[in-house]
Amino acid sequence: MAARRRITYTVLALLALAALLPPHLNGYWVHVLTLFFMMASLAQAWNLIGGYTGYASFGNVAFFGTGAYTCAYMMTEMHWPFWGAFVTAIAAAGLFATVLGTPILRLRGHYFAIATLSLAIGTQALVQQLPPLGKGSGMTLPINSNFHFFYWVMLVILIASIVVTMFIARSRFGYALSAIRENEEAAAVLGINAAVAKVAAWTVSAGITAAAGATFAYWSSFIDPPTVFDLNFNILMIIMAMLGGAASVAGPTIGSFVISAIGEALGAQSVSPWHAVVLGAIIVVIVILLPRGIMPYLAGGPSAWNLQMLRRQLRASRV
Amino acid sequence: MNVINIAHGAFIMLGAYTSYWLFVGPMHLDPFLSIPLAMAVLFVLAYLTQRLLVNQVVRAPLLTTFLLTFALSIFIANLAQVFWLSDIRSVTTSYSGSSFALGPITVPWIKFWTLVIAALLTLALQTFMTRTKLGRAIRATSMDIDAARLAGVDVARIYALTFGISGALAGAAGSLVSVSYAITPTMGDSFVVRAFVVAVLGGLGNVTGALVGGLVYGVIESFGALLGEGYKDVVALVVLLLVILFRPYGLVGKATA
Repeated sequence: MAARRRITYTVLALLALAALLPPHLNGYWVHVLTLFFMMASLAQAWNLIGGYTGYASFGNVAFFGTGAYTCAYMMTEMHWPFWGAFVTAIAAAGLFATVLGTPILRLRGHYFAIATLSLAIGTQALVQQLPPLGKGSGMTLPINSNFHFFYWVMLVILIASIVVTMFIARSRFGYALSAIRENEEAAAVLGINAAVAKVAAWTVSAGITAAAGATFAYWSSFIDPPTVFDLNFNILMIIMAMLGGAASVAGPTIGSFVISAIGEALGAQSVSPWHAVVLGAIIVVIVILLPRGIMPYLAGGPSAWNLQMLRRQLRASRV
Repeated sequence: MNVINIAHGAFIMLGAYTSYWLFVGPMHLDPFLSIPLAMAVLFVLAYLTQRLLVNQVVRAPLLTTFLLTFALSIFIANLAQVFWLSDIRSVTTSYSGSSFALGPITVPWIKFWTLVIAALLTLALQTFMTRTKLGRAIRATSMDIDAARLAGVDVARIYALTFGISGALAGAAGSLVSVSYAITPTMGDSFVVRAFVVAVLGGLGNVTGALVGGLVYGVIESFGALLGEGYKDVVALVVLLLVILFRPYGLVGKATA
């Protein structure tokens, strides 16, 4: 366990150092890193419900879109400053998660997955019909071209999401979530109010996701439903969290870093389908070789890096 | 089988291309006649995919297979784009526009035969699953891997076989949609979500339920469109949410303990 804690502190220290970088970076790298901080905080948020609680949410992107649209609405229609809109966005998504989570979190496994998937698609379709939200044609926010500002805001959201996860993981609440993941009936017998704990976890997850969504809206200064409700965001959150190590404090950030780095190395700016072919193949290989993510290898130290461990892992998941 | 196969859409796409190439090729094979070929091609591909790749992670947490098949679908769809480009293709047969009248309703022949073949395939699958030894082995494996293994089932082979059958059906579906939809490397995406929704509507692991689920979903989507094209998905998904909240075992299934 100590090793895992050391990894968390290392990640946090590196991120704190990253705050000093912007003056030394050109616009391209500021953009790439801002995007990485955003994806990493989305993966951290997903990890609370998908990793710790074991409920595979395909609907978290709905909170991203809700956050983005709430922020856009408050800033353009109500003429609120960004921070007011930002807090409102978090509250709106949290409320959304609490209200919808109460019935949806009664479902499990595939049924929960499909219900949350329809939540994501349904929210997008609904936003597309609402006149105050510009219907399908999107909304334009006030332009702020101080891109270092967004770099720091996204970085703070990411650091906050890791710290929140760290505190939850060590709290009674965090143990309750893990107990629910392992065996919900047994958790209930132990006196855990599973319904409340699950909804609370989803609400926190939604709040972090909406914070990133609100910042994204202001950052891109134009949003439309296909962009902020893009299911690929949700799928990337899952891939990043699982690759790093689900139900680990800093795993999702590590996973996001690896995926972003691979994407950059393959030339994310290029549109050739060959890059996607290679990315797909790399994910296949990683998933088969690291079915439990990178975390067990990092936490195990040098002794974990041997063929026996790899073989044991492979044998455990093979049919 | 508890495997979420995101690559199912990519398999449908490959089935559609199989029919397309056989149609435009020197043989000029009718898409309805190329169904068995598309099924055979996709069976082999899906069997190997499961045997070599998915079987390696079947016992890992549920989402691992999801991740793996998602990566596979990126891989397949983009490989298709490399070789066949993003051009929109279509299969136009001599009978493409023709239809017959059923009272006040005009039924295109293509849709009619698509429905007939889909129903026949469902019936065949249902018979296979309930009346044959292999079908029973598949159901046993999906209930409890270890118990099935103890009873002498070669579970690795059963997994591959199940995936192969699923792939063959995706191939048939691809042939069937090739006559009514545009064929592109990314055409599979829209089918994955629908297939998932329909399977849940019908009840997971329930073959005839899937057919009922498909019909119900199609009708709901069409009636939802009456409210305005944009509300189609909203209505369909609200109904889906209600179904899974109140009848999580599917529309035609029975509640089990």
